[in-house]
Amino acid sequence: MAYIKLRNGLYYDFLRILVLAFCIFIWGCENHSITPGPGISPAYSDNVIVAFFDEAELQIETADQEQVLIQALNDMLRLSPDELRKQRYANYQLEPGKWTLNEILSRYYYARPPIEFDKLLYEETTSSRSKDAIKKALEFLQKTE
Amino acid sequence: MAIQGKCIHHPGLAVTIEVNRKKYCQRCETGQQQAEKLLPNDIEPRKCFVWYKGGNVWAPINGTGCAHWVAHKKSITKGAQIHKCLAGCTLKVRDLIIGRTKVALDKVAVGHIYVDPKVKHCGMVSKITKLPGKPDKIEIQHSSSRQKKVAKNDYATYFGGKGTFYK
Repeated sequence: MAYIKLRNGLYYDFLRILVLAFCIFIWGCENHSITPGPGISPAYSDNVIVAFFDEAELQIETADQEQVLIQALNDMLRLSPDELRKQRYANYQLEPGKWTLNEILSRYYYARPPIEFDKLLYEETTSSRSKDAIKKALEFLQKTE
Repeated sequence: MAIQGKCIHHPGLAVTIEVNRKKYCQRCETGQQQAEKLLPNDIEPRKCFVWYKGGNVWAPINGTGCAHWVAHKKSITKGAQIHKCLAGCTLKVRDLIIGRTKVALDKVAVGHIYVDPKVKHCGMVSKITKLPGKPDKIEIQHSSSRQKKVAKNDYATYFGGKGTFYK
C-alpha cells in the first residue's frame, strides 16, 4: 500500500530527492578527505582571506585611495605569493611604495583578522575560494554609487 | 600603583591600568603605548584605538578612524562587543547608524552624522551656513586619512554633494 503511494503520490518525488542528496553527501565526504596540497586551502572555512573579507567593512575616504586598493586586489588575483610579498603600495596620502599588501588591507578594511592572517595571507591568495572573496570585494569597490 | 584584580590577558600579572572596566597589566600597558605610536595622525582619540592580537602583541585597530571619531563625539556604543575600541565606542560605520533616522538635506543640523554613498566613510556636521536663494552650505568634520587630521570639509565640494545624513 505504501509502495503504491510512493509511486503515485508526492512521496515518490521526495524519495528521489532524498536519494540524490545522499549521493551528493557521500561524494562530498570523499572529496573533502583528500589532503590539500601546498598552497591550496581546504574547501571549508579556515581560509584566512575568506574569513577576513566575510567580516570586513571597507573604510576608505577618497576615489584615488580606492584606485590604490583596486590595484592591490587585482594583484592578489594575478601575482604569485612571492611576487605579492615584494609589492609595495601608496599610503593614505598616495606616497608610492610605502605599504605592503598586509598593510593596505589592514588600513582600508575594518576587520578582526584571524590569528593566522599575517602568516597565511600571501600563500592563501592562490586558492580559488580566496580568489572568489577577492573578486567580490573588487566588485563592491568598482560598483557605481 | 597596582590595582586589584587580574589582567584580562595575563591573569598571573599585577594590574596597572583599568580601561572601560577592563584591567590590564604593565606588559599590556606598554604594548598599548607602543601600538598607539604606530597610529596614523588622523586617529582621535588615540589611546583606545589599539587591540590585542594575541601572543603579547598589541597593534593599531584595523580600518580608518572615521567611525571611531564620530562614535566618541556622540558617545555611540552600538554593535558587537568585539567591534568596539578599548573605551567601548563603535568602530564600524554600519554600526554607527543602527536605529538612526535619515534626514532630508534641508533638515540637516549640526551634530547629524554624515555617511558617504557606499557607507565606507563618515563624519559629523559641524556647521551650517544659510545662503539666501541657495542650498545651505554644510561643513562636515571627519577623521580624514587623506589629510592626516580631523578635518573640516565642505559637503558640496569635498564630498561631491553625495551621501546620507542621520540624526
